Amino acid sequence: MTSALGFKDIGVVLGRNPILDGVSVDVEAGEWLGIVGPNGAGKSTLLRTVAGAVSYSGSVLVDGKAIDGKPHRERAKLIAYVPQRPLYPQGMAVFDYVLLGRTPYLGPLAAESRDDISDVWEALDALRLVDFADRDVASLSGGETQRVSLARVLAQRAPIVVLDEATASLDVAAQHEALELIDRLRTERGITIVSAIHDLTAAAQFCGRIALLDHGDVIGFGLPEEVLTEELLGQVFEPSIRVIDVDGSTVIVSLRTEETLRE
Amino acid sequence: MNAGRPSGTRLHWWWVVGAALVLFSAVIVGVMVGPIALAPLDIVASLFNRLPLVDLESGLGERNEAILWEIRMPRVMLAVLVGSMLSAAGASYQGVFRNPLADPYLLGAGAGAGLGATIAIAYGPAASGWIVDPLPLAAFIGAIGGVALAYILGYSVRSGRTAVTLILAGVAVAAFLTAFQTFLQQRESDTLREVYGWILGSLSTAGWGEVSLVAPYVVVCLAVVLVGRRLLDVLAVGDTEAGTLGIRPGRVRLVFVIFATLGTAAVVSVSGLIGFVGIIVPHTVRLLTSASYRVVVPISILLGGAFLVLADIIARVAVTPAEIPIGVVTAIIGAPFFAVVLRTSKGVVS
Repeated sequence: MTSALGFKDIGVVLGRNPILDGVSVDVEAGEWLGIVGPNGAGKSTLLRTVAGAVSYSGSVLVDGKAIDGKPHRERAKLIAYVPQRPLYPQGMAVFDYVLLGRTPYLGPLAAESRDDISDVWEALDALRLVDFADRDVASLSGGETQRVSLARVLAQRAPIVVLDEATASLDVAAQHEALELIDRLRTERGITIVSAIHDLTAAAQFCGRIALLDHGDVIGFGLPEEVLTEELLGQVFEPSIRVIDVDGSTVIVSLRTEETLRE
Repeated sequence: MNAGRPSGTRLHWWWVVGAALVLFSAVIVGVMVGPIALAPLDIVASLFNRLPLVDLESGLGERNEAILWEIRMPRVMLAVLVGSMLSAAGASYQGVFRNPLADPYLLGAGAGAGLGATIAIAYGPAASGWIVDPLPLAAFIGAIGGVALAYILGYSVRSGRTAVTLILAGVAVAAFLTAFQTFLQQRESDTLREVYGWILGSLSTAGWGEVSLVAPYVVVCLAVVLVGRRLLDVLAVGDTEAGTLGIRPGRVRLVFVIFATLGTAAVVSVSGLIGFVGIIVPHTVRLLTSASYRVVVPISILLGGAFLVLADIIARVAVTPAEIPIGVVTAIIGAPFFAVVLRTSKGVVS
């Protein structure tokens, strides 16, 4: 179960402000597309269009077919979405939270079946959360809730997973672990991943391709080494960005310059 | 493959049986207590006598049979209906608005019913001249009208038709209707006592007529809330994420509000504005069992009925021969009880 995703000429206007202006990007099946760019570039909005959480012009394509008019439930079977700051309801057990992933498969009147329950166990198992099943989801650490969200996504069994800044609030080690986990799920299950990432180094190391957004436009789209260049990043972020090679891995940092040091 | 593993939250059968037993016991005690005490065994015998193919000697005698079936039982049954409905409506409102303080009167159902009742009491024709009693009808229409007004106002907000705008609209509507009601109440001061009594709530006028008037609404509304309760858990993660899980949050919210309001309007029309039940019962259930609405809704329905039956017993007997308004009892007994549960629980409140 693997699917390709395409954005065709996506435009979004919120109030009177154009947020996205004709964005076209495509993601191959089983690929990890990283969406980078400064705050306010439109990354989250682009991801929300995929998930059907915002109204837009243009088309979202899954395996070449437009899904814009599809009912919510059908869309939810194809695309799972984790927002930037998920709301973990106080008192809800981890098991119950992951069970929410089965929602698109349940009619409005149906209760969860034995198969739904076993899908939840399978997802908990895959993310080493079985011992957490009865814990209060609101009491977990950042890294643990991250895994809970991924388990919910797995339970949803969607071939495309959209993650908005999934690892923003984690420490370095937890972030790395989470990204590795996401990559493992991608390779093992052929899941297509689209994620907004602030950490450019992480984007360079984990994403197969990168879309660089600025002011609602795609400035660069391609392999990490093609897009994450000092020239392009300098244009979009600040001129002091350096792209360094450390033991074959790309590291992207912003240096303090003579100018800023003097201030 | 999952044998022995923790189960997550399910509606365990012993919770349901336990809550049902509490309700049954409350009903028995409710019909037992009064100026003339009835023996519990006689009551149970008389209950079973009503079943087909059962013929037991209840030992109550004709007069006590009449007290049991014509006076006490309808009142207790009405308490069950009112308590169950207000609790289920409270849980629904808390779920769809993700707000632990939400109660069935949040969007103006209470204020609207109060206004309707005040108009009926102050200006209405004598009940005997009408086919239907104007008081419950006016309260019913007022409650529905209040919530409808809040919805229209909330939805006319152009930017962001969210749960919060709806709550704010409800607050505005409730304040407006309450102000209007207070104005009428002050102007027509000769009916003040009656209006005030109605607002504090009472089951003293209950007969089988009231029960059969309210029961169809309650049954239908409870059924809808029960069947859809899983969706309240989905709404708990927020509208955006709930939408990406395949539901339409606005539509789900509307359906729950419609049925919670319809049921609330029906029970309020005969019982007056009994407060606190819709908040305390779902929260107590949450603290004792689970925060999942898959559990909270059914158990609240059972225990809410029991709670109101017990509150009504106190309302009847505490200062006999007078009655305390039941709304006063629910708060006086309910608040300390809730405080104890809050202190001794695991602290699971959403």
